[in-house]
Amino acid sequence: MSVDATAAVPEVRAAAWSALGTGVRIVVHGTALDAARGVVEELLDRVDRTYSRFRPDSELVALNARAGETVAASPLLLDAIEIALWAARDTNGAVDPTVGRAMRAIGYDIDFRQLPADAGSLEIRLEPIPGWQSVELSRTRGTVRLAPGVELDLGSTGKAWAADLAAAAVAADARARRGGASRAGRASADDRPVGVLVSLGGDIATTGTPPDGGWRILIAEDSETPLDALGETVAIAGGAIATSSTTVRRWRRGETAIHHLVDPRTGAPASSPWRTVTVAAPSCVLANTVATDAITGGSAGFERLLASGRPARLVATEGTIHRLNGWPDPAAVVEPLA
Amino acid sequence: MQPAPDRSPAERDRAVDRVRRLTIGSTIAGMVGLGAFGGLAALSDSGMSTDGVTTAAISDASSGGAATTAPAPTASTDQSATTDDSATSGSAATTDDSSSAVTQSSGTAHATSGGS
Repeated sequence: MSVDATAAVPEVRAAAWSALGTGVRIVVHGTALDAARGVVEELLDRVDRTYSRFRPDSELVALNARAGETVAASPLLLDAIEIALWAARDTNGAVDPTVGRAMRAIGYDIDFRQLPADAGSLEIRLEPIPGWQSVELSRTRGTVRLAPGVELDLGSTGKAWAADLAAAAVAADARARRGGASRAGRASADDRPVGVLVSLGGDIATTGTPPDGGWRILIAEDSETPLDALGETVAIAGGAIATSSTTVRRWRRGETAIHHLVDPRTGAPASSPWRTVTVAAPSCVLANTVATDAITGGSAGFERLLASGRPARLVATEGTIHRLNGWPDPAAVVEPLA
Repeated sequence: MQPAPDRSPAERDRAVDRVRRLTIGSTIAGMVGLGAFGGLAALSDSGMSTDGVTTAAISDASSGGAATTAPAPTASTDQSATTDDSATSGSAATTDDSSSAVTQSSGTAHATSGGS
């Protein structure tokens, strides 16, 4: 566990580790870092056991293996699938959870860290994915039925939603702890505001009160970029920022470079004029959905991004950066006269 | 694949935000039962809604009469699984756009947003 005090903002503490096959970072103020980390670790463990595609004992793997049957699902899995179905409906199928089989077909069938960067050529039979309409979900019965042959991959929305959940859970835990201390008559400095930031592989959710100046976010193509690296830094007072990119989680099979963002219309890695899209929105799952849609949804996805009004930063395949919907332009900064 | 009906940006934001809030409530409430959290009162914290303490809130919303127009988000055979935008009400369903405004900043970042 690495813990650091983020410079220039007193009482802000951070921790970083790995989970869900990606980097996790939490930043808190007004509450204990260790407790916050414990909450996030427990939540991510539940998420991993519930809807990881790479754990043979996960509930999602069991569900995928029983396509064609009506299967009882845990509330967490029901929620995760419902979120994914909403994203699919919201993007007219461009961000669709029924890409599981397509992901396996392109070779992404194990945890990415174990995926060879360059393996032998792969013969792929591409086909459109089944689509989110092939999933039946009953809230009242607590069941899910996938049409025969359908496999879900909740990676697109699942990680972002987990970030939303984690930030909310830490804030909830902080309030509960304060309530407990108050009931026990213990004095504390608990009128301090609480602020929480959770980043799961660069999908960032916040809740509560931001530090002075806001939550500072370095925008990069790779979420592993060091915090003090040169680059574009923005601030948000709340809400979330998420980035989708074809520049990471790339591998080669023979002569072909492959990435993990599948175009549901073809079942192949999306061909997009954008290699990286970052979006700010009130929730991380919404930001991630809009960002991914801009890459996998073609021109319609880009139009939906424009219409959404969400601040967005897009990097074209050749590297040109475009800023939309109020995303600040660094070149527009005017230094005040002394 | 049948196309989804056209909806305004505000409608789609409300729809996704509503599901998010409901499911966050239900998930964290579930964890309370495992001893991870101190109590349901905590659910009233910023960004969360107490209206989603149980997953039934979703089906309740769509079966309570207010839901009449939205298409099913899935090919569900169970109408209770249909979440309806028109059932959205109150502040819990309101998307706060002001919270996602982006401004320029400088200095060491708290986090990096990038692909992963």
